[in-house]
Amino acid sequence: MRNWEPPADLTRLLQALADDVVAATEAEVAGSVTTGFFSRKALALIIRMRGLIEDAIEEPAEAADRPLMPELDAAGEVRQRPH
Amino acid sequence: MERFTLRADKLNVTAEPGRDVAVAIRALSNNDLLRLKALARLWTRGMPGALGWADVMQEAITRALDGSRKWPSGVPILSFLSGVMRSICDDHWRFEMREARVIARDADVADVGGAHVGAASPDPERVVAAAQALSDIYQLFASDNAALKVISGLADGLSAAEICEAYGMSEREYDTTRKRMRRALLRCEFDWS
Repeated sequence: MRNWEPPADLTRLLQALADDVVAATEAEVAGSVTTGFFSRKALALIIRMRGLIEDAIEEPAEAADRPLMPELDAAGEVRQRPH
Repeated sequence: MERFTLRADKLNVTAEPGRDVAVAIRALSNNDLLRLKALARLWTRGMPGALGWADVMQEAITRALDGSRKWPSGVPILSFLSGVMRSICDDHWRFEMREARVIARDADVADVGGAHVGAASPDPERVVAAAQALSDIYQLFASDNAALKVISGLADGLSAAEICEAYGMSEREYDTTRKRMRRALLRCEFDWS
């Protein structure tokens, strides 16, 4: 299990779609939020993301001392369990 | 031209770890942030457990800033953050699969005195995990037959030309389908969690 990897077909698909998202043109991104509803939702999301980024940048010391994500921390514990 | 093309080698690296990454992340345009959200949502799609896209994005930014993940020279910042998120999600998948196996093993021991422990198996957890994630992506494009063909081809590792040939699609149809898919990925779910 230590060497478990996501299946190749899933990884290939996700990477191809991720590359698509990175390469999306400005017009395509802007076009995804043209209507008022999506526009408002997107703006709220962007404001929150900027807040998160600013918090992370302004508090690097706290971030460095942060606990690991619980799931990843627990993964280490599971790894140590005797068979 | 577009800000997502900001590369590590275009920035002055200072003595403070993660400072150049901080500059690049802070410089992300609104459209870049929508791309970043779409990437986080994509990598966490169908993922088991309670880890959400915002958690993964935040963790990726934190790892980039604290230097635990280095931003390679020449790599666009969005591609770099996408890779970090992929790595976090892979770790999470491993954890979930490991947990499932521990539970299954404990159940086996209780049921049959450990007779099946160590027995060869076709790794059913892997099959189930893949099916869950793929199903989630297929569901996103369920009403778009052309997109489903493209997804199937991409999952099989086919090139654009091979997908067109395999499914009888014209180049133009393929391009417009990929454009619809990009728009769907960018638009879906603007909620925080």
